[in-house]
Amino acid sequence: MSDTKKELQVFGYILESTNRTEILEYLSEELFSKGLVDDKYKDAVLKREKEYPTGVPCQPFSIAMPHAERENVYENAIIVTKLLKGAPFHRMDKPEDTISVKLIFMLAINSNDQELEIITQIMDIIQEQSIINNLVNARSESEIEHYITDYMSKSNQKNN
Amino acid sequence: MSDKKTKTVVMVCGAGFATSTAGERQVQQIAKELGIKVNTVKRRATEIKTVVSTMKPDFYLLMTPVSFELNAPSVDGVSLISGVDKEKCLDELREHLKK
Repeated sequence: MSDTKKELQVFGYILESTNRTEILEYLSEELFSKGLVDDKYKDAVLKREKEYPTGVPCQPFSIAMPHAERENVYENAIIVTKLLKGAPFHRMDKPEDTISVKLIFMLAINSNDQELEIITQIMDIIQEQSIINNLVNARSESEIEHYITDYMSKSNQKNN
Repeated sequence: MSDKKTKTVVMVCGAGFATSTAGERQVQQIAKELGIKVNTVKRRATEIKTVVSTMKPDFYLLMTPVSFELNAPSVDGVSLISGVDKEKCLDELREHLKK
C-alpha cells in the first residue's frame, strides 16, 4: 500500500478577487494545468460548493475548504490561498448565511490511505491560530507554501 | 470491554469524505479514551435517505445540515473543524457514546 503513497503537493496563492466563483474557477484551472485533476474537477467543485458550501466560521479568520470528489483527482494536492480582500462563502453549517473568507484551503485528494492524514493535518492547521495568522500575513505565495510544508513536516516527525 | 455494545455513528457531509473524515477521527479518539468500540460510517448527504431506511445508527454527526427526518439523534460537527465551541461538541459526542 505504502508504495503507492505520493507526496502531497502544496501550492500557495495570493488573490485580489472578491468573487467566489471566479476564485474557485481560477484555482481549479491552476490544478488542471498542473495535471493534478481532470477537466471535470472545476465543475465538480463549483457544484459541490453550491449544494454543500464549505465556508467555516473560524476565529480570528474564516476559511473555506472547497473540494470535489475523489474521482476527479489524479494527485494529492492542496492550494492555500490568501484573499487580500476576503470573499463571501456560504457557511457549511448554515448554508443560508455567508461569511467573509480570508483563507481558502482547496483540496484535491484521491487516495484512501493518505486521506485521513492529510485532512487531519489541515484541520490542525485551521485550528492553530499562529499558523493562520502567518498565512494571512504572508507577503508572497512561496511564504504560504513554506508555512504549510514546514508545519506538515513537523507534525509528520512528531507522529513517526 | 467485550460486554459493551459497539456504537455505530454515521458521519454526514457533502462529498462523503473530507469533512466527515475530520469528524470520524474525533469520534474514534473519544471512543478510544472511553474504551468504547465504535463503528464509523461516512456518507454523503444525498445518501441519507438510504441510510435511514437501511441502518439504525446510535447517532449521526452532521457536517452539513440535513432536512430529512433522521432515525437517531444528531450532533452538529462543524465546530470540530472551526475549533469554535469544539469542547461543547466533544462533550456531546462523549455523552452519546456513553449512552
